[in-house]
Amino acid sequence: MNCKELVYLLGDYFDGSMEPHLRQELGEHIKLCDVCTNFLKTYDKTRILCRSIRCDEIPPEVRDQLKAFVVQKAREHRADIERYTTCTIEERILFARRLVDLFASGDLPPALTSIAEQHAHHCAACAPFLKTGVVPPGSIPAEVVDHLADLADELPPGDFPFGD
Amino acid sequence: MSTDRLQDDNLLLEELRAGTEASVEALFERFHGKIYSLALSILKNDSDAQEAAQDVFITVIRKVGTFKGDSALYSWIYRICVNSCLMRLRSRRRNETVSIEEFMPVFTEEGMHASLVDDWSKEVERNLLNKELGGVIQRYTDSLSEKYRVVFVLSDVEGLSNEETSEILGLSVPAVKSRLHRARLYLRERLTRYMTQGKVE
Repeated sequence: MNCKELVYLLGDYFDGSMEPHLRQELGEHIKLCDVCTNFLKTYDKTRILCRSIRCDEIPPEVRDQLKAFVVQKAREHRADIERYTTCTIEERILFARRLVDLFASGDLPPALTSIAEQHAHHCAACAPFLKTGVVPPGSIPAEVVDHLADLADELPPGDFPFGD
Repeated sequence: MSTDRLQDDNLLLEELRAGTEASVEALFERFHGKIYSLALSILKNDSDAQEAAQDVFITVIRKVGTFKGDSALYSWIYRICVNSCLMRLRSRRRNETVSIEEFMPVFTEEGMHASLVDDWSKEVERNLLNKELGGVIQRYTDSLSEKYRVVFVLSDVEGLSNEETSEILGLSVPAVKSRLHRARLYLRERLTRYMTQGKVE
């Protein structure tokens, strides 16, 4: 191993990935070469010194500003999600109500009528709401809203549930 | 929920996805120092580092639902931080770095050192707490181009393994090792000149 090869391999030497036979060759070279000994020592010292520039301490005022910002943004993000979720729930209730009404009056487009009838056939929860001419009074249970709102997903792409 | 429980990555992620305020605070307490320090090391500017840190937390909070856990949580957060810093660096388009080639060691045709090498490592022991030396190292580190500085900061300053740095930067391990080695050779040579000449070039 010559000096150039030794310098090339110093990274491997310090991260422990050097092959044992190369480590032995390096050790033998170092014993005989003061220049490489000094190079190795100063290379190692450079690594150690550079760790000292690590900035662990964030100034307290920067930390406080950063924390206030992050907490505020997280609150806004959560509020956005809640708003979206609430809006989605309201839309699904309206959809289910309209589907039940149009089904009862016979005005539901054929595609959705067929899907609704198939669903009513095997779903005891929704069946009472999907009988022509019969709309149970009161609000629609959440389970039924979930089932009916999902029926729109069974329509072919591009079909509007109520034909509008 | 106690903050201790949120030291566990999976619980912290679960709570972040649920949107609890305690989880946001736990995330902040665990990572703000590292994120700020890393951003400052890459960007070299306090206000830029603060803005980058803000971006990192917002991204983590918004994207936590898409984090699949393929890598460690800190690794994902570091990657977001590095990407945010690199975007800022690129938008600045400033080129204040030096070519490291002129600071690489020179060898004879036979592969021997072309000049003598001083051992200044013991000299540094006496000056370890010297503020001036700290400033000099900082200045030399800052003069590294982005390609070398980011690898150097993650590996030697932050103390991550080559494998961790490689995962965060999306580089191969040999590429990380090569960049890190060249960065060290550059810094070693600059420190050598500083220690022997007693002044910053």
